Amino acid sequence: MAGEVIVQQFFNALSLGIMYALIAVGFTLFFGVIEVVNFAHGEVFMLGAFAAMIGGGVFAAAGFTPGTVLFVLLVLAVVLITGALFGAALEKFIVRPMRGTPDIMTLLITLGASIVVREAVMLFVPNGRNPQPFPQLIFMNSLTAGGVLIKAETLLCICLSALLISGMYYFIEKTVFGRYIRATAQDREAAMMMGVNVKLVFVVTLVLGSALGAVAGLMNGMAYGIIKFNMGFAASIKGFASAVVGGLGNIYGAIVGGLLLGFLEILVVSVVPDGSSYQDLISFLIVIICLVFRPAGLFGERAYEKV
Amino acid sequence: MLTIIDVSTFYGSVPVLKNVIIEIPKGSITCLLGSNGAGKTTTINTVLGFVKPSAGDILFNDASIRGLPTEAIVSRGIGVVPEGRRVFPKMTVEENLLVGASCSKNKANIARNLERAYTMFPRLAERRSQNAGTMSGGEQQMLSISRALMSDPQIVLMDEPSLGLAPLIVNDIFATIRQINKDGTTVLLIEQNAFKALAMADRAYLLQKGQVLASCTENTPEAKARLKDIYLKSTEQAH
Repeated sequence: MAGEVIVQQFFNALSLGIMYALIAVGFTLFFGVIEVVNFAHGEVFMLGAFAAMIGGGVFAAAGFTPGTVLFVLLVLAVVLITGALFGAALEKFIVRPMRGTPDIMTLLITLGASIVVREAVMLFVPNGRNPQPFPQLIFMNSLTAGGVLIKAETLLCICLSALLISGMYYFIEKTVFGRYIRATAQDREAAMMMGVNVKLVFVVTLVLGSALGAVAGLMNGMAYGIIKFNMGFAASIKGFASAVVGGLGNIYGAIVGGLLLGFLEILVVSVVPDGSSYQDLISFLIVIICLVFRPAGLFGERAYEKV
Repeated sequence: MLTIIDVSTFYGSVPVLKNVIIEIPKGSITCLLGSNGAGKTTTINTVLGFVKPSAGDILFNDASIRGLPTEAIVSRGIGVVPEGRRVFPKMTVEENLLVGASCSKNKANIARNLERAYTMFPRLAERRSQNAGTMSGGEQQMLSISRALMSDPQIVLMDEPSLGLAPLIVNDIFATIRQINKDGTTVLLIEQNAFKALAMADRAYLLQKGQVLASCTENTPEAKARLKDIYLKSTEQAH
């Protein structure tokens, strides 16, 4: 019995951790490449979930059958596009106009933007103030082996995220444009001197990072079946915590940080009596401990290691 | 090839360059001399668009490049060896070189220039998959120079390429600069090794407090001696 519980919780932790990792990759990319801490990043998570809900409703009304591969792909496309557009808007309306101003100003403006987006969803989505039921996207039986039960959604989310994160890794490490992104992160001015179009690097970074954040929101909807306009706040805290644990600016650190946070939370929830009340505390605690003892993160060689 | 016409710049409200006029003819080695804070690096940064001139114009091949974004300026055929080398520390030697080729779309050219870099500096070939940040200062300087040549520039702007290097390596670097120039690339050189640079240069300008104090536009020993005198006097005054 104990073994089954452990396997069960392992999958819970993995799906939670990989969702945090998806959010953290955005945080860490924005910090490493553009040198902004984007506190509106949690909102793209929320928008991704809402886009999936609304998109799913529209496609179902248009005659697509929920549960088919095409349906899921359509919803995924809507989520990715929503995230990408949000990232592009961030670049155009916040990052570009704020270039050359002190970092704290950009940070405060992203915080303001996050409130605007959150409240807008609350006001303009019908019944937006209340939790929204997230439509069921796939109708597959849960996997059971021994006493372990794994929801098909969980497996799908784990695979999808792993795919997206490896895609991101490949893009940054192996492609020509990824090389420009790394060059910009390591020395922006030198990259400009070599003819790298840094403005384009910023746009691509924000678009990709935000798209990943939106997919995390979709995952959250699929996992819990309920979404709410203010779900981005907790997500941004956890994504940020994961990124800090891994060392802001370090992509692989962010992935490990996200998984670590997921596993820690599930550990506390399942071991500590009444642990689920403490679940959200952990990320705050981790940020504080990390900032005090290892400000450069677990893998940081120096303060603010870059991609 | 590159002409700086009556350019003035400010950092905030502090004037840095005042009516600077510099002419760099095609095929030349032109040298910028002057003490720290004279405005040499600012001159390069102004050409590259990092500092916006408040007056004057900058012509490259007779077309104004003033106000263009940096990547548009360098993609017209300007290579840069920045002050302090500025290699990308967590990228391999080869990746550094490939970033230097960002302006070049032709894959065959890039492959050829990569080979040229490795022939010019066999050291870089040995270390092609090593992170640039782990190399010695001299090796990083070789990398920085090779990186600037990856896009087949018509002119290379070099800011203190011998800074902080051992004397033997400084000689190598100077020999390389001469070779690059012989191969047809125009060079703008900022050097703290003033006399060494002057000996090699076709033209030289002496900057002081953001102004051109004197220049030597003919490549004769007398003209160079005259500039050397003014240079020595100006540094004495500064102390």
